[in-house]
Amino acid sequence: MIYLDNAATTYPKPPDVHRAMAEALIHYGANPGRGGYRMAMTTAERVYACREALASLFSLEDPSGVVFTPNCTGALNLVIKGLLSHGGHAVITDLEHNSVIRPLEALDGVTYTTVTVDPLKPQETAWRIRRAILPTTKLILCTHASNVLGKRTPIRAIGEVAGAMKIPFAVDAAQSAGILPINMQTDHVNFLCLPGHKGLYGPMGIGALLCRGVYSLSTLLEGGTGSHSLLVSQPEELPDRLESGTLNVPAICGLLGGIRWIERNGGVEAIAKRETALMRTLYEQLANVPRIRLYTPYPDLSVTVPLMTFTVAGQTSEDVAQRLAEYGVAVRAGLHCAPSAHRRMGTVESGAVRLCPSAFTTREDLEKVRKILTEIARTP
Amino acid sequence: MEWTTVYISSVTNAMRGKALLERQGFTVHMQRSSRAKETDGCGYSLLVRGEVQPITALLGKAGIRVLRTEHGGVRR
Repeated sequence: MIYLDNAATTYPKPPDVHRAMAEALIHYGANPGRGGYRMAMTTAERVYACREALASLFSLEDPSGVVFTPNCTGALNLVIKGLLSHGGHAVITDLEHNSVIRPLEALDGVTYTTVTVDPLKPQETAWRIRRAILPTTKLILCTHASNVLGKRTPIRAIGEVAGAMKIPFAVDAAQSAGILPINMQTDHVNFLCLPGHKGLYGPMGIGALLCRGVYSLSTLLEGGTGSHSLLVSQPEELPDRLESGTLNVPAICGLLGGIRWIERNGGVEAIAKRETALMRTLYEQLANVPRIRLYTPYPDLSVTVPLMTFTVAGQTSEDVAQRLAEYGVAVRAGLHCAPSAHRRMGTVESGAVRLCPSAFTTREDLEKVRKILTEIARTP
Repeated sequence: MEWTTVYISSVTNAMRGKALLERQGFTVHMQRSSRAKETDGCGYSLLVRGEVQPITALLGKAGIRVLRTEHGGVRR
């Protein structure tokens, strides 16, 4: 199989991740933060090591601001529902995923304004965000990179606006964590929402919310934290405030294995540069294939993440994906849970096919895919 | 030199405090608190070789909430 559905979840996972998860089941089987015996302490140390690794990767000063969640959607819900209540307003972009739109729509009496992003014009995008701010705005939230168009949002310029206006700024890093460098301090990010199983190469079932600054979130879930047990109210301090119940330790250990693997393989930027170079070659080739229409810009890390979206004239995206699957190529078709991006592309009816490489994708893989796609496009 | 017990409720903040103090040259042992009421219930404590004031000053500067301190302590 040639796996190019890495924007949904990366596969394969590095051997480090396999080992880390197996080790967790054997050696880190206690509940962290609950007991004082040796295995409880060593398990807690592993969990803390993952918090430190995430804090370091994203330039968060305090590792206790790293809150583990089941996924990026869980982190986004914590931010959206933790900051917004009746009468509140949010500013978002036109590239958002349903994991942003649906929680906003679910909140009674909360409104939001959608701003168009132009990655080539960061200051203009930031100015549009600025103009959308109302006296009731409690949150500015944007995806860092579209899961459909691959376009980057100029988070630093937007973060500067949010910082100047003293409005919490949250970033959905579903497609950028582990792909693009993110510095929560210089990018002025207060809340960074990320999945563990995509660009960070961890397993499914683990994500994180990184919290920075003075803004406190109300809770979605309350319960046991292993701390302040005499208090009937949820503790104020992070991560306990937002982390009730037992953590997914094997997945956290796997995520730590993924982060260490990235570090050992040149780091985030080196991997993304290699993927971008591969995608450039494929892009240049597919751009000349009759009946194939590309929707993503030419791969360029300064404005895009390495993913490509296309349609084949006369065939639905699902049909193309099915034909690719018959050749052993795994991709995702349809609307990718991001209808607003598809509206922008004009592909709501047909959907589109998305290819996304990983660090394990080879030039040979993409050459095979080029040949297969050329054949699929030639024979409707 | 004296040992100081620093009561910190959350395991994460206790680990953060331990790392911070060790970076400053303190000898630190982390353990489950023996007295529940000192940590509002359950929690962890740091047994630190050193005087109370510089230890709590360092932790406080890092935003680590110290619930209580006491001279001495026993490593379990």
